Amino acid sequence: MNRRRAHGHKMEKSREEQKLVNKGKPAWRRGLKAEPFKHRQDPEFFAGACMMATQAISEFYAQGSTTMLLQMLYRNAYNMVLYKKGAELYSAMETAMASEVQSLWRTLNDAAPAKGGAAFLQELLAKWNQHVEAVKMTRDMLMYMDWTFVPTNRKTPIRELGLRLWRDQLTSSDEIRERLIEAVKRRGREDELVAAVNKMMTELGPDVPGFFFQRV
Amino acid sequence: MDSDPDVELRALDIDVELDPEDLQPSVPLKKVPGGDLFEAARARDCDRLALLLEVGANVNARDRWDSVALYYACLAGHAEAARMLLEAGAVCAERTFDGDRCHYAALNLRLRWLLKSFEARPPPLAPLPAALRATFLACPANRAAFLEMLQGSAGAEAAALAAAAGFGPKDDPSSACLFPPDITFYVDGKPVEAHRVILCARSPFFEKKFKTDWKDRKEVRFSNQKLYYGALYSLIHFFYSDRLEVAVDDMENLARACKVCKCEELQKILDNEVAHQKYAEYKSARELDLDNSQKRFILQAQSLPEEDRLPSALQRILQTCLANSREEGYDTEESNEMPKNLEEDLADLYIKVGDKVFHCHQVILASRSEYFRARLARTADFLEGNCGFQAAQNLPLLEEHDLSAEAFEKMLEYMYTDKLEHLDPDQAEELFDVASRYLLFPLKRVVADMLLPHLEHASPAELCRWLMLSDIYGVMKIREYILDIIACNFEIFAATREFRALLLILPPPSGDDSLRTTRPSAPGSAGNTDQGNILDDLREKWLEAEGAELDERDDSAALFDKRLETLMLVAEKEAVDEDA
Repeated sequence: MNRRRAHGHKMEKSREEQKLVNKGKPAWRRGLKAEPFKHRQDPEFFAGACMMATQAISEFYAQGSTTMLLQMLYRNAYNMVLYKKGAELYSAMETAMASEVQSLWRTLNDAAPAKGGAAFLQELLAKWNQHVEAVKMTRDMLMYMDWTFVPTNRKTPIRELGLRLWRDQLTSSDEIRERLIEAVKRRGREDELVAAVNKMMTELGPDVPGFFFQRV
Repeated sequence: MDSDPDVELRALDIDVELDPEDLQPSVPLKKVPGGDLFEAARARDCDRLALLLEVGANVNARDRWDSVALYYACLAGHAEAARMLLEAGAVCAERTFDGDRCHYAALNLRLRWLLKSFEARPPPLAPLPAALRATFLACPANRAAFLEMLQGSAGAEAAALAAAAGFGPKDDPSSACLFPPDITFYVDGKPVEAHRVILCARSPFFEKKFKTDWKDRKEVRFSNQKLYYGALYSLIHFFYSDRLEVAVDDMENLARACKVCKCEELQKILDNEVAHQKYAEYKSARELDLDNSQKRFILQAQSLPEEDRLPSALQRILQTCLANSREEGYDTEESNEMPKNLEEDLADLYIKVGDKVFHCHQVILASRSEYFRARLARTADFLEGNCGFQAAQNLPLLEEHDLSAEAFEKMLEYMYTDKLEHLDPDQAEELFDVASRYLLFPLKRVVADMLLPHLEHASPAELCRWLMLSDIYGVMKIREYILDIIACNFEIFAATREFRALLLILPPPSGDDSLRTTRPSAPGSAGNTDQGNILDDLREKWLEAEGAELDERDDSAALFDKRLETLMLVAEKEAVDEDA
């Protein structure tokens, strides 16, 4: 095959093409969206794969493990990204993770209003660890997406997304902040619980500890 | 790209006063979709640059003004682009002609720092030694020793720079320990961690020891006064990375260690070098203020004969493994001819693909593929298929589905040796799939390079198929190659039925004619966000080959779109005819 510029090729239309031009515009011009890779596309498969990923994420949060095979989950996610369904998968993952984080915080807020100090911190850290583990597992499951789809489409990588969701919850209300500051004050600086909380905050971002403790 | 370049660059800024405005260009950037390496570097079109580098452009090539791409990036102040070029191996040593120009042209201090920090860096390693070196340095004791050495070495400043630029082991918590070591040596109470397989592959001495005295040991203490810690560390580091770095003071000791380990070629080179070093003092200028303890000797793998390098060593191990891997109807327990040399291959992992069970090494698989690393780390959390076979051997067994044993074998060959001996073009598609799935991205390039000669004789219909495949699997080299062919021979393809059919299933070219203006002088038209649209890229290439210049370029683009439309109509009609 000649890779160099082929001279003298004029855009000539065959007679048949010429006739067709007047008939109408092709599908994508008429506003219909041509869907890529029709032959290998099975909407049901993709919907199922998305469901399974969502379910797996909620299992990660609920029990720190799943009954499904990692290699199957991984392969499903891989196929979705391969056949250009990365956006759907990503948003499904984002929604699932956000709602899981929210329900974690809801139980935290519901369970501990009476408890103060140490119990609150312990609970908070336990939930944080649960979250970190779940994010790690989610990333292992969706590793292919994190490697390919995420950078080319300038999405937030999964690990960072996990941190952001947690940070948003942590800094969302004044009530939580006051409770946290109160609890930390009561424990004093040299406590290991406080150290763990501090570690969590530095992981969340360099400005997060300042947000809480500047005014202490 | 595993790390955000900006994050690391920020570390470089510590001592340099910089306006935040320096980091963002005041004028919006322009994309140069058809540009070469020089244009992309000058315009800071990082996507284009990444693509060109991926396709294998020569980073140190000069254009007709005798300038390298790095020069343009420095001149225009694009740290990101400069960094990408440097990471791809662009020469920047201040004493070379090109390097000097880059230093001289650098727009700001930040760029100078960047150039300086890369100057201290040895050339990039091939994927296999790089991956194994990362595993070695990820072991906690080794990492601590490495950082200490960096601190103490000649230019503490250079070391700090190197660490800041990310040449040191990354302090990323997610990769805290890539794969735990299974043996620890102590010399003078200082530990060196290692993996048995690697040591056995590289040295007959270790191989023998691990079969006899050290069979079940987790740690070995050397109390021998004749062995220095530095020498052993250098030697083991060399076993992993194929690059020897040793303090000149330790060289004699290391040569002795090589003799014990039966690394004869390395010993020969070291003996010569030791003799040479004795007189080096008299030869060199006296003013040099380095004392011997700070001098280091560096040896690249290329100086050793082929069979003494890392890939060959691992290939020997792999061959034993493959000989032991067999079609397992694992109900045939009575087959008493269990591989006799089961001990020999040191396998610590079985992988079942189809009906074949492969003997492999966890450390190699985990080092080379993040997928396997996760898979091995997570065997407990995710349900794994179990079978009696696994229990009988007391070794973990993983099952992999949806691929053929042949493709898996090819992948192992690549994982162990960084190359493929030969490739059947029919296998290429499956290998692209395997390379993507197991996150072995460099394998794609190897397969693409082997596939290219076959494509020269391929028919247009076949090329269309490869175009689709390379787009799915992101094999840029093949994709670019075929798009070039199509753009230059458009009429031949227009007359091919397969090409017209392809037009129907491809996503339509982006934008409307008015938005899609190719008017080159409009900066800030950041280009379409929909990346990787095949037809867009094809139009770009076609315009490059056939389109008119300047003002008439838009007309040419419109002409091309019209032509595509008519072809699609033909294709639609053909599709209908076929159904009827």
